[in-house]
Order: sequence, then structure tokens, then C-alpha cells
Amino acid sequence: MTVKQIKRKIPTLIMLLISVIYLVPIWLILVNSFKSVSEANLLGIGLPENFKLHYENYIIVFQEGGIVRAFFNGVLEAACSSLIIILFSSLAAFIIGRRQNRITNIVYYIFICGLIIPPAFVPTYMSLRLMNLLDTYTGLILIFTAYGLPISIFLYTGFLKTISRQLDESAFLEGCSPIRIFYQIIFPLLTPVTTTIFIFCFVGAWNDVMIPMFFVNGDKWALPLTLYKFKGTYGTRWNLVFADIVITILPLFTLFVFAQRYMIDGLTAGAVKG
Amino acid sequence: MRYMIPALTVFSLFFIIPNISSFYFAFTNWTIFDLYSIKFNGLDNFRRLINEDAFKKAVINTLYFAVLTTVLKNILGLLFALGIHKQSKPNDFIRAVLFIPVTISTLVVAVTFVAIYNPETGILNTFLRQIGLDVLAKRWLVDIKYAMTAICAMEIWQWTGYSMVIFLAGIKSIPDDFYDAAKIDGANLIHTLKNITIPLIMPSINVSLLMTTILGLKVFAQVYATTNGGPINATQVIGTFMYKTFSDGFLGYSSAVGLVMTLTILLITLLILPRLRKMEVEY
Repeated sequence: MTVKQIKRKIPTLIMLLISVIYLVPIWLILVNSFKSVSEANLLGIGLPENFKLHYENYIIVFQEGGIVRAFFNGVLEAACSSLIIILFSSLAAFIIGRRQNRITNIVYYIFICGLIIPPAFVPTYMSLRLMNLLDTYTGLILIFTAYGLPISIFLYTGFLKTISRQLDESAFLEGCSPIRIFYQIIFPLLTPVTTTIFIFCFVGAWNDVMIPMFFVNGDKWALPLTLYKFKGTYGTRWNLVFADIVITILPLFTLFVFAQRYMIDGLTAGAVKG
Repeated sequence: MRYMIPALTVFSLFFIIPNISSFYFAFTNWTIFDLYSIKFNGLDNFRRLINEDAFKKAVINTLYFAVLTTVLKNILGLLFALGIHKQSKPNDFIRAVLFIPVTISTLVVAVTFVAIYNPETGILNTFLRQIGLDVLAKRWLVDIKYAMTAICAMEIWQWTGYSMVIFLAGIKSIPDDFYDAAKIDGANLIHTLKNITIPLIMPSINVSLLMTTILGLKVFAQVYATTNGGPINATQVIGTFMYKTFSDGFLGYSSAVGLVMTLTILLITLLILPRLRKMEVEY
């Protein structure tokens, strides 16, 4: 190898070193989840003593941590809110993008304001209470829906402008009703944005901390939040806490490994395309 | 028109109406103990806020967090992006690794960093002692002097990969001809960076700056799960302060805190947005 070739590799080598540093916390979580209490409480990154893996940590966490319920809470809340967001925002964007008049412009700007203005939590608490939706799955799902609509409408409207209007017009002349034009012609063409929005909203709801804490009790929290509860009870037994963390991050991590490109596109939604 | 009704209804009920009514609730004595007797009390909440030491600390800490994390996430993110922008197998791997923390809930990251920052046996201090830098081994989350900065470092670890990906998308969109032309003109690395790369990825930089600033101002879980505002309010931020007043039952007071936060974020966004736009160039 010539000096020049080595020089060209330097940035990659430095970055490899940085990614090793990035992996240390992940390794810390993984290795300590297999240690005994006394060993894990030292919080080191060495291998377990005598290479003995304490699988029973996971069994205890499964028995005590409410993992199954929390997992399905997360799936229910994140999936329902993402699907409602996709349905409502694509429909709204279809009108906003296709019929540009004063009303649709106003509606569009109302939603764009939602991109900048943060939500008002305490008055939302009152709204939920008045509608009898406090501490319910429905209430939580509708909150996630409301907070996800602006970005989705923004992305859908932007993408709709790139789809030729002639498609709608020829379908209309063939006697196709607007709703059929939408779900048979337009919606399938929106698939790339739909994937992005689904991942963005799903991961957002799954990982959210503040919204469930404000509006529902602990029995309706998704996996990441229940870790906080778990740590409150088992905080002195780090092996269990780390095992709980592994279980908590495993679903999205698996998704990331198998659909990395979609995850990265989805989570940077708006930032890259907008 | 009726196709917009579902979206508008949900958005009005759970976003617009609460936001508008916060202008009313913030000026009332509303508490959880007597939910349905809400009385207007003028500027009382805001007077109380100004006099509350914890709130002053919260404002300062929130701004400190937002500025420090925004600056470092973007500088490091840009350096990382420049380091791995060429298409190759190792670079793809590095990009994936640096993005992993983004997929993890902030709360999980916070709990993990409580372990890393442990003053006695945490890996950070163990490492510092091993390389002979005992003086730098501080009581990270416990010492009021370092707690806030330690939380910032955690946030930077988690989100730098996010800015990096935004920059990578920007760099990818620059045509190769620009670099070839610069090479023929004899431009060195610094020149190319200053005159081609940075100006042309300005839109990406702006998006990243805006996102990281807003994210920084909304800081909550990072603090809540590590120090919960302590020791003695040293890491109190507006988000945790609002949650504290809310769970104590002072809803009107908490609304006032929320209103201050909303207006701060809105003001800062509207202030920096046009400035950022002006910095974009076209060749």
C-alpha cells in the first residue's frame, strides 16, 4: 500500500474507532444483562465471570416486568395511531393538493403551524377529561394521531404535487368517482411516503415518554416507559434492569437490522425531503 | 371538502382548542383538587413564576441544553458525515452504528447513562482512571457543577447520528463535476469545504439546526429519567418543571409554564428561520 492509499483510509479508520465508542453502551447493556446481581452492579464491560451466562435474569423480567402487556400496549397504540394518521392525512392532503382554493390553503397553513407550535399538555388533559377519554387507549391514540397529522399532511401534500393531474382527469372522464380515484389510483402511488410516515409515527409513538405520562396510567404504557417503572422497583439489581432494557430495545432494533434504509428514511422524514 | 373533516376534527379537538384555551387556563387558579371551579386570577401565575427560583434555573438550563447540544450535534454530525460520505461497505456500517441510538427511546438511553456515569464503578470514570486522568473522574450526575453538561453529552451521543444522516443526504446531492472542477483549479480540502460543500448543503444544515434547536428546547425525558431536576434544581428544565407542577395538581400554574414554553419555542423558531433561509445559496 502506498502512503497515499493509507492517507485516504484515515477518515474511515477514525470513524470506525468512533463507532466502536458508540457501541460501548450497547455492549454494556447486553453483557450485564447476563451477569449475576453482584457482578452486574459493578457496571463494568467485562465478560461474565467464568463465562457463566445468567439467562434466568430474562425469565425473572418476563415474570415480573409486565413485558407482554407493555409490548401489546405499544403495538396497539403505535399501530392504530399510525394507521389513522395515514388514512386521515392522505385524504386531507388529496383535497389540499388537488383543489387549491382559499379554504384548502387555510387548512394547509393550520396544519403547518402544528409543525412549529408544541402541544399544550395541561389543557389537553382537560379536553380528554371532558370527553371521558382520560386514561383510555382511545384517548391516547387520538392524541398521537393529532400530533402526527401536521408532518404527514406536509409530506403527502408535497408528494402529491409530483403526481400528474392527468391521471385523475382521465379517470374522472371514465366516470370514476373521486373516492375511487383516491383509493384505486392515488393512494397506491403514495406508497413511498406512506412507508415513511408509518415508520416515523410508529417509532415516535412507541418511544414517546411525555404523552403517556401525562394522559394514561402505567398499565397502558408501552415497553420503553415501563422500564422506568421497572427500574423504580428493581433499581438495585442492574442485571434485571439491563435484561429489561434488552427486551425493550429488541423490537425496534430487529426492525432496524432488517429494514435499515426504511428506518433511516422514516425517522428523518421531513428533514431530508422537506 | 368533506375528506378533510376527519383530520381537521381530531386536530382541532386535541391540538388547536387546547392550545388556544391555554391562553385562558394560564391566567386562572385551576387546580386538580377543585377541577370545575376555575377562577381568573390575572397575572398571579406569572408573578409566582418570576419569583420561583426553580423556574429561573429551568429556563437557564433549557437554553444551555438547547444551545450546547445544537452546536455540538451539528459540528460533530457534519464532521462524521464528511468522514463517511464516500460510498463503501465500512462507511455503510459506520452510518448504521451511529444511527442506532436514534431508534432507542430517550428514557432507555437515560437509564443506561445513569449506569455509565456512576461515580464509583461506571465505565466512564473507570476508563478515565485507567488512562491516568483521575482528576477528570467527576461525580457526573450528582455534582451540581457537572450534572447538566453530563446530560447534554448523553443527548449528543444519541442524536448526532440524526444530524449526520441529514448532512449525508445533502452531500450526496452535490454533483461530482463541482469537485472535479475544484481539483483542476488546485483547490485544497479546506477550500473545497468552504466554497463548495458547506454552501451547497446549507439547506440540510438549516433543517438540522432547526430540528435540533426545537428538540433541545423540548428537553424532558433526558432529565426526568436521570436526575429528575435534582440535585437541588441544578438540572431543572422547563419540561420537568411543567410536569412537576402538573403532577402536584396546580393545573393553571402548569398551563402558565406550558404557555411560556410554547411562546419561547415559537419565538426562537420564527427568529432563526428567516436568518437561516438567507444563508442558502444557489450556484
